Amino acid sequence: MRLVKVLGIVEQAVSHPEEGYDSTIAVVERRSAFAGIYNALPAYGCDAFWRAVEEPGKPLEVLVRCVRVAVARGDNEGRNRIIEIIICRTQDTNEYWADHALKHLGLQADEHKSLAFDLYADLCERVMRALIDPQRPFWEENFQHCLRFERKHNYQAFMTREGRWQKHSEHTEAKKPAELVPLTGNRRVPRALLHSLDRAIRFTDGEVGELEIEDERAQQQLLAVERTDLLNLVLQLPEKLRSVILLIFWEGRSEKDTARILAITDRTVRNRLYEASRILRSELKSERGDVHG
Amino acid sequence: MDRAQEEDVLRITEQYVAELQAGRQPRLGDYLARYPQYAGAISEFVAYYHAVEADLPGEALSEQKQGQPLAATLPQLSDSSRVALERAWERISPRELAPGDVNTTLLAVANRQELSLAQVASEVGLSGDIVEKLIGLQPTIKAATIPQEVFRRLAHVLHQPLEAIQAYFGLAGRLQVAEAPTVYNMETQRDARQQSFREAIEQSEQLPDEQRAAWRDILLSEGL
Repeated sequence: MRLVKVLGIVEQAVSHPEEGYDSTIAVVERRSAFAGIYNALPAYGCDAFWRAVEEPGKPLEVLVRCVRVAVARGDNEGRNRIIEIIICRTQDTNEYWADHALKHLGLQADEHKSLAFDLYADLCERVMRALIDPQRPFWEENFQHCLRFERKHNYQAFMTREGRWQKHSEHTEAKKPAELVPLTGNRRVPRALLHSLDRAIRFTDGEVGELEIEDERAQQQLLAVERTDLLNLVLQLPEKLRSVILLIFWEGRSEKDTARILAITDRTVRNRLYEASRILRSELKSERGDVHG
Repeated sequence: MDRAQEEDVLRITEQYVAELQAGRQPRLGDYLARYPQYAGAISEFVAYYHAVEADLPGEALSEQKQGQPLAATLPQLSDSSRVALERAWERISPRELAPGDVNTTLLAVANRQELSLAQVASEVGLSGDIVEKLIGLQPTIKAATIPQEVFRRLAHVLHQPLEAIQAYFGLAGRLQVAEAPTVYNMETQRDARQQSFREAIEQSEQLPDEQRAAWRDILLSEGL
């Protein structure tokens, strides 16, 4: 990542050479636009100020800045009022998200409703913590993307806490696969994924060999029908295993290409596929209730 | 992953989503090759995004319901939101809600942005010794003698609201000193070892003459 200084702020320039586009310019323009809107607000706390922040079209990024100013001023009432405005303006999307995020679990209606509310309430709490934290400046630059990220954190924490996901550490599943906790819920592990992983494991003797996914039909099934399952499973894998699985099974990269992208050896790619296989196989067993495999 | 790294990942993944929303088909492999240090976090976000977020009907569901113009007034807080808010306020401790530790806030902000005092000084147009006196652990410059231009530049460099910077120095609006809980409100305890901004400028051995002259002009223009 190229780091440049713009207005004294360290920026990352994500360039797109093919378009001659440099997003640093966009970032500076965006900051400048929000700063202009913020600076144009009437004096903090006056009636005109509150009318302005309650305008439905006021950028949420500007409202985040207002929340932080309220916190810095020790104005609890003002802080709460602006936070409530932000929650109001995002509630439909976030409530929909909570409902949608749990759909793949196939829960009964009552349980789904109850869990969706908990998920939404947890998200509200996370968002509120972020809004009052001045050390998170990106909320003042791209609110929606920060919200998206917060929803990701919230979703993962919630699924783990509720026992829908296992929490895998990179050491435990490698050394103590028998201790993995059985999961609940109606999640499916794609058989095609395990089949393909099995093929990969055959190369773990260290011999040179390109991982080829020959069963194209299985792969198509994996990419299309089981796509969401694969992605949800990837989220449960230890960090180091995710990239390998995604590159090979989601993006269709070869083992060599994957090794090149991640700057690791072919053997490491195969080892990671092997670890992922152990984890996913364990989960498949728990779904079947087949503790003996 | 610390805050600075998370900000990096936010920027990178923001670009990924922007490409998707622009109708392009970004390749995960390209991003991982470009940012190998964040491969795990980027993969995690991309997996989540395509599993959950990509199918959402639209970012602005709450803002502008499908096909309808933006409402003239704010929507009502839903029952779920009201309960969620009450629950959240109960869980968030008063300590989290308090303004930051003003003794270290600006230093911490600079640290998190991986900016040394020398870098901050360079961006603000001051020397390191003066910035140390301004935002170091033992600030020694009287707040009332600091030009607004310093606060504006610090706000820019540290990406903080101007009011937060002023509040740090106990000068929120210069009319509301009493509500600003800052170290600079304790001037009476430290008068003996404090100096004015002008004195700091004149005494600094690090400040180039050109910058010294520029600050003299600023002090003059602000009547300090």
